[in-house]
Amino acid sequence: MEQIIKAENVSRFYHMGRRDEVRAVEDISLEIQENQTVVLYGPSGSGKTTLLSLIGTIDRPTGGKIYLKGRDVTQFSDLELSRIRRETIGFVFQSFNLFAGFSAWENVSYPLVPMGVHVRKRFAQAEALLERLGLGDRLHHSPEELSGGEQQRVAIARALINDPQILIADEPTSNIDADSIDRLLEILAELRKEGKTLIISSHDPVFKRQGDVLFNLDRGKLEGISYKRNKREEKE
Amino acid sequence: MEHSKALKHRNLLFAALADLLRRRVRSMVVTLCLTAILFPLVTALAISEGLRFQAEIAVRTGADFFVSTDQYGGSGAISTAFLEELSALQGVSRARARVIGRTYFANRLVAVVGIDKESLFALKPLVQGTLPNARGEVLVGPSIAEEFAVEPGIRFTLALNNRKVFKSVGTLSPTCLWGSDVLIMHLEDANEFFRIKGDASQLLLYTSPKDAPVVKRSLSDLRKLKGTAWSQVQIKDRAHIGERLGSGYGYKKGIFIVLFVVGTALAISAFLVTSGFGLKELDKEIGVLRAVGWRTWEVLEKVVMENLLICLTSVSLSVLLSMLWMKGLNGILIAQFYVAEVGLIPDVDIPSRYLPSHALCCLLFALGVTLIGSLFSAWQKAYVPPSELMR
Repeated sequence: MEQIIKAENVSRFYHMGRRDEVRAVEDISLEIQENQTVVLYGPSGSGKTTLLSLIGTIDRPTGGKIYLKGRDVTQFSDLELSRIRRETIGFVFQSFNLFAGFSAWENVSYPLVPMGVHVRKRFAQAEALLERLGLGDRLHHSPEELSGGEQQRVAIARALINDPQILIADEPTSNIDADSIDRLLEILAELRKEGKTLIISSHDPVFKRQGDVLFNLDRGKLEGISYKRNKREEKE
Repeated sequence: MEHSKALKHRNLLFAALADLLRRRVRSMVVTLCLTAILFPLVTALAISEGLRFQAEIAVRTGADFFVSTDQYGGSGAISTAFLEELSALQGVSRARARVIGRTYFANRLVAVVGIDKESLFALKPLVQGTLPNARGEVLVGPSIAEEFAVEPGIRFTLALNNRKVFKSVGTLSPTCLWGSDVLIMHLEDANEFFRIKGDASQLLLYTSPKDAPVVKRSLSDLRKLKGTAWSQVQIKDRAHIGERLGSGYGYKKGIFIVLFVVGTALAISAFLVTSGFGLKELDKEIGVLRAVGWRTWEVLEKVVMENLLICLTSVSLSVLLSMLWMKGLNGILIAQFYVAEVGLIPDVDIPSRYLPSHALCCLLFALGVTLIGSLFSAWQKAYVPPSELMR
């Protein structure tokens, strides 16, 4: 398998040099292979979301480097990062971040708007994705009219609209009910079969056995790495 | 892979419209605030243009040359003896004398205009009543007639020469703004009243457009030829009058605009606060857009389009409101800046004229006001990492 993401001594500090300095992520190095399912596991405040944001290029590290397909994205311009977010990475946010007042299909197809895609084609693509995720009868409902699980599926559909190679999901089970968790795991399994690289952050034990690799985080540091066959390696 | 650039911009425009409709309360508040700011500006521009247009017609349909004497740098009376000589000039189709002066009608300063019979006859469409026929008969301006209840048949005298008795026979139409405070009479009556027998304020020469240069040359030659006798004669042509008129109205318009901008500074500040209402939510949305792949300038383009749509709506509403204001309320509160001696509530019909350039001027002003707040803020946010905006 080819390496797709590499983080090298990545750190992210807030309010640097001040009394209230926060070291959200500190000196983390990891590698992610293509088609792998990776879980960033740890309690609240361990730096999972921050690390995910850095890998997903929606935040910039204070120190260290991040390589995407061999290229150092920490040196990329805003335009280049936009291209990555548009073409390579799909992000599912913890609170979904759907636009209130827009229907499900409008939310899903919004990334296609500035790409010059005709509205009929945008609708067709969104419809196909939502039907696949079991929301074919909810196309015209706005987020306020959907349950937590349904909103999450809309968010997943939006992340998949450009058929990205990498799907990132931040705490995907935190805002949904138990039934929806099962549905979510099915969707993630399907995406794995399609060859997508999945990167999931969670403190939910259900994900402990879901990934090919489990990175254990605590207080912003990488404490351990587990592989699917229960081989354990301590961080040196 | 991007599909079509034209479709892209069209998509962004519709996305902007959809966002405005989605946040309709905020959009409505911003639009109404902007309309409230623009409406006085539109109305003022319309009144200014209406007055200028009326005055321009008067100049255009009036004489081509105005002959008077130069007195201490201003225009002075000229002998009517010059009329014969001027009428004989090649290219001059007719020559008239006119007396213009000021006096008091009771406590009100009014203009007195004395013209010949033919010129009086030309006013017929503007007269309610009859034209002055016999000596002493006058036409009264509408605001004088209203204030002092001067109906046809009423006799009166004026300050300056109360031995001369006048009789009102008609009133000028209220739409005739220049005639509001005017008394129009026979030339001889004006001469008698002002005790300037044999003189006139101006001699008016009429010519055809093709003959105007010839007449101008002839007048210039005549001055040189006549020497001392003509040394004080002052000749102005229509273009000269028109320029003064234009610059005069431009000056007034400029003063109004300065006052308007200063006066609305507070309103603009309030507007910026209002338009910033819900800004945190907007920041988050910008963050999400960028996180799902929108480029910075695409976000900014959408912001510009949102503002453009709001401004277009506001300008349209302002023009509509202004038209209703002029039609229904006759320019109340605003006309006083442009028309002398017109109070808060005008007692004459205030002319107005709406031009596309006014709407464009207001649109540019509105865009400036809206983009100052939103575009700069959006531009700053566009370079902040998306995750920070979404926090």
